[in-house]
Amino acid sequence: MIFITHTTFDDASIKDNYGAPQYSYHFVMKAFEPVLDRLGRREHVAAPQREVDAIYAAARARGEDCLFLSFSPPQLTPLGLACPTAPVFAWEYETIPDESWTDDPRHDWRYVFARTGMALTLCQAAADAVRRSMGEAYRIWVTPAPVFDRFAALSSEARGWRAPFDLMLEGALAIDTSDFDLSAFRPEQPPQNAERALQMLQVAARGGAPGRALRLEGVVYTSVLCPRDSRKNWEDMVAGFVWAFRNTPTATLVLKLTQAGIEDAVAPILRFLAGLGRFDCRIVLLHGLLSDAAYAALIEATSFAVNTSVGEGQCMPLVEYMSCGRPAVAPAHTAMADYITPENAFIVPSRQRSAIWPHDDRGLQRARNHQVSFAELVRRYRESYRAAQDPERYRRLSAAATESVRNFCSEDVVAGRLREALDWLHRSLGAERRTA
Amino acid sequence: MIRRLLTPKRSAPAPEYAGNCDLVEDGVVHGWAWLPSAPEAPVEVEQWVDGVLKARSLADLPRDDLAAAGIGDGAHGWRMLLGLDPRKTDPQKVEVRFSGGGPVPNGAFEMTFGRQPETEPEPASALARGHCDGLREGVAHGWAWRPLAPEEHVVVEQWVDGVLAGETVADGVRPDLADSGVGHGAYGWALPLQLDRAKAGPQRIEFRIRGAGPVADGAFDLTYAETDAERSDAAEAAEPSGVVGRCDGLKGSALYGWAWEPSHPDTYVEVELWIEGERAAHARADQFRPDLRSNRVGTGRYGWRLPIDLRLTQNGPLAVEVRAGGVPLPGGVLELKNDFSLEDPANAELRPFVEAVLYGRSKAPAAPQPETPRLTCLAYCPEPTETGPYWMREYDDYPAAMRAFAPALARLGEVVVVHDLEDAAAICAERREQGGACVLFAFGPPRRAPLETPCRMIPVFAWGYPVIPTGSWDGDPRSDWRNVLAFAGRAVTFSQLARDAVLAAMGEHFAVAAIPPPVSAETAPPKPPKRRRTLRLHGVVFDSRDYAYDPEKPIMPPRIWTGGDSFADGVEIELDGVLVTTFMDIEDHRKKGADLVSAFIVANRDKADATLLIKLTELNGEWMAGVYKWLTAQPAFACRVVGVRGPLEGEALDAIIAASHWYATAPNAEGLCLPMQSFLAAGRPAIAPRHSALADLIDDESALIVFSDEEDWRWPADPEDGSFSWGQHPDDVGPTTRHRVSWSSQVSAFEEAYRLATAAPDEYARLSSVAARRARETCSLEAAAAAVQELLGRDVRPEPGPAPSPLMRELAAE
Repeated sequence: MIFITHTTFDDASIKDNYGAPQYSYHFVMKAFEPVLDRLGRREHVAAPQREVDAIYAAARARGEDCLFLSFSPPQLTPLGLACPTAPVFAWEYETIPDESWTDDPRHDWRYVFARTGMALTLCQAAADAVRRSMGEAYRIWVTPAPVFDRFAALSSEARGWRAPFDLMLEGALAIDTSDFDLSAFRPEQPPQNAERALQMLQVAARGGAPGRALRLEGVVYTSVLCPRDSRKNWEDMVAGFVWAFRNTPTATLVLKLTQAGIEDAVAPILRFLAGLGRFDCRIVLLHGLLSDAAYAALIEATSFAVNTSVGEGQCMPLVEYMSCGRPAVAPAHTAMADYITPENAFIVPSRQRSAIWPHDDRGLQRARNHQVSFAELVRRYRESYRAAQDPERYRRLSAAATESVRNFCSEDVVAGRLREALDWLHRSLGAERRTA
Repeated sequence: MIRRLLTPKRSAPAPEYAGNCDLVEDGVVHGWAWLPSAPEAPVEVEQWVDGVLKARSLADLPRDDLAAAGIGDGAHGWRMLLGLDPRKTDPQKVEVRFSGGGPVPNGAFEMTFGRQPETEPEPASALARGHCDGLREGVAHGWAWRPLAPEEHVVVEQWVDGVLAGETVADGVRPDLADSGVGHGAYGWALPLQLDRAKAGPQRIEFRIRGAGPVADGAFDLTYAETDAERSDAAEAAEPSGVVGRCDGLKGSALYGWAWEPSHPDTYVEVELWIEGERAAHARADQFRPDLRSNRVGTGRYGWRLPIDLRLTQNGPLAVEVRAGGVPLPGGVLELKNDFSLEDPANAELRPFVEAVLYGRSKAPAAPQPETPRLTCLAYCPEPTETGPYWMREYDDYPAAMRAFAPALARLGEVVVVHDLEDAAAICAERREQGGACVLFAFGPPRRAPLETPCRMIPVFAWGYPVIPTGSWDGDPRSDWRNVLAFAGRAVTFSQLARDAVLAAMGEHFAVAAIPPPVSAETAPPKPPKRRRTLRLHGVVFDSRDYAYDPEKPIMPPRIWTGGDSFADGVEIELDGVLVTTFMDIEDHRKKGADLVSAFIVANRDKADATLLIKLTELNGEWMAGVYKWLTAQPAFACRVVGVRGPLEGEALDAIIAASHWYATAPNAEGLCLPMQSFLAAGRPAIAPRHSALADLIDDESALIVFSDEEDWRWPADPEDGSFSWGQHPDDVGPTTRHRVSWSSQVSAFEEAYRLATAAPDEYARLSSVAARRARETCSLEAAAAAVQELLGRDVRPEPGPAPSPLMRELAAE
């Protein structure tokens, strides 16, 4: 079995496109590699229209089967190839795009799914949405990015309450609100202030940020997100945190930002924080690509993973943290419904709201997303802080997090689903060839 | 009210200037300044607080005492609001200086925000004065007032053996007081003694002025038996035969009253009319009087009427007596005069009427001066700001709120709408001269409340958040609302949330009332609209059925319908089925118009007989394209959306209300909801969240409640997000909350609204009648008038109160 893989972004462009809309497909593809290696051989292509069918023809000549896995949203999936094709995509809405616009028929996903005949997606909610449009019999498998094994192997001990310790973060700038006065970024100040300050910071840090240690204590909450992605709803996450811990210096929220430009990524958050009034809790913004070791150290330092999204196709960072036994403060909608439970998380209630498909540049309201309750988010933060100080309770939450995510996206689980897909493919290809 | 004369320090005036800082009172510092070498030159003084220039004032206020002391022409007074920084808890250094000169003598002192200057507490009696004149027939009489606030009425309390046994507002007319220079004189009070009849020994009676202290001669000891004896003495003096009753007076051409014998409730008393010592007529006291019955006077059938020929008075006053059992009834000894002479000055007011009837309009003489009422309510509403910085725009309709309040204020006194403060000053001076008093009701955000008013000012404002603005900016102390409220001493808000927000900042004893603007309500039970009906809409009308929607074309295409000739004339629309009406301002981001429209369309996508009518209140002409954009964002829908912009008052508004089934709104904060009040009063239930000002008006028996809960909110920072209504600068204090309204709950509510209006008429009728009844109860003229009256008589005692936000309370408690 040969898996031909392709994604819009490759290794070389990742540093430049960090934070761009499709960048996470790169990480999804990387996460699948161990499982694909278990089930067959991989061949990565950069130009699918030229390369895929050539590989397919050669393999057929050897009597070998091929599956082209396009790690991309369906409207970017290459069509018209002889090789069996399956888009591997993330989706967080109840409806799939069933209208086409800008003259590209692929915007109507039904057009794409009808031609591929099969698809892989990262969560149950997305599979349900596809079946609602394509019929119950449509061949779609839930194959989350199998990140569990790699992160569970870090085997860092989860602790709710931390005695003071130093976190070394190589490669990243740590912008710690307890270090400086936010009033320079207040609304009445010129909006360029934040951008200018950050440009100055960048120039000063050129040639590498000094490897400064971040001294942390108490309960540490972490979220990895791209602030430009409005679905992540960092505003509620940050404001809720300040409301919950205004007088609590031992609560820290670390936001690991995945965004290329520091002005775009950090400035809006600093301006927002400056308007929240005085607070004693700490908010640390991490900007820059962390080394694997530094990323592991950040997980190690974390008590809870946080998510306040309006919708998730999988949320790999949350799954990674939970793989390492970090319980969550998160809603239980869309993909999170697959692994967030009352046993492993402080669930933030959410309600549906009218929304737009994220790539629909017409701006039409064809979708629903999920708005978290702000007041309840504040309460969940406070409850989790209390739970962190109860080692036995925290241990149970932590164990439940690992277990739930193992069942969701361990390599064994995902390989099993892929095998089902391949079995079906073999059967249908066999039937096709017999009739041919 | 505390008055403090600052102790003179070293007197060191700048060489050329002269002046003094006289006193600090209620957060205002007073004084005078001039330049003796150039008495005509304008002199300016500056107020510095902790080294920051906070205020400037020209010293040009006329002061008689200065003129008397030979300080130029006397017009050299100044006053400034103290600009203390409310965020500082330590004493702050205040310094008043001549602009371009040295310090003003006695102008340097230290004060702490929120604390009155430390001074010898003055005896409370200095603040309010009163007297107990004595007892008559078991009722104590007297007078009480507050010389520093002559337009207000104090409350007099009766304490019996340390127990508060009764209270009354001292507002009885007492010409004798006015004559002896006690304000306008309307400060009389009367309180029936409330002794405990179970106590045999003497009881301690004390009359006190609320918040001030005892009234003079108002403390004495009495036994119940004594008061009883006094009462019966009075009764016996009037009626040894045991007859009890009263002559109520002359109405028309007869005397009226009542009389009975409590020991023989079933017999009827004979009353006699004696004129000039001769028995002229008699009558039996056997007529039914409901007031007697309800006051438990026997069967209540003791009324009497004695006709009297008033022509007899033409020859001079008549001595008249009404007797029962041989002695005059209380109130029954009268001198009847010919009160109906056109020449009598007391009848001057009626003379034009009589003459107009008798001689026609042309002969009617000029209207005489009307009698001056006791209280004049000046209603003042500065022109709303429609331009200028985004945060100055006002969305709350204060002029309409003022119009709604005027009839309620009219029950307290004459209402005069003033457009500027000079008018107000002129009216005030005139009323004072005539012995009356004025109160100015300033409709608008406290940020724009006038402080230079000639009489007491009461801010009347809308607010939809649990925290009031307390920031400082631009050197205008009014940006911190606490300064304005402390200065005014009293405030009226439209909602309980706003009231609680004020109490949280000003202390739980601050005199603030939550009074929804009164709306006129029909008393007839509401009738639901007919299924098919025609509605004439005035103004510019947009109808979704006039357009074919093409999502690729965000620009509004021409209409496909040609039913009317001109937009501006308005159109008649044929309505079929359910009509939901909403009032909104597309630019007011509190109102969440896009969500409301999308929820309506999603809920009624396949219902051709469901219509949403949007009444637009804004000024800009872009609204039609805005509504069009919301509609194109939706997949094809069968329901209908109609927008109308134009003046909608009176009959036009009544027609819309009559045609509507529901009123919908979904703001994230609301301070004033006049349209919804009108719909509710007419039996049109609401589809709305239950928060801020809305919470006072609806519950689940009178509305379909849309779910909402609190969220973080700060005064918007981004001009693009401008959603201002209260004339407040974004550079303000920390966080507050507003409400996150659930869109999905709104969809469900619209679905339910359609079901109730079409398939469950009984349930709809129940909501409708409860809505009408509640609105009549909460927004009645009587309730509003009583609440304002009560507010005028209240005291001010600052002390912090609890936060009205449940989320904030919860966080503080943990």
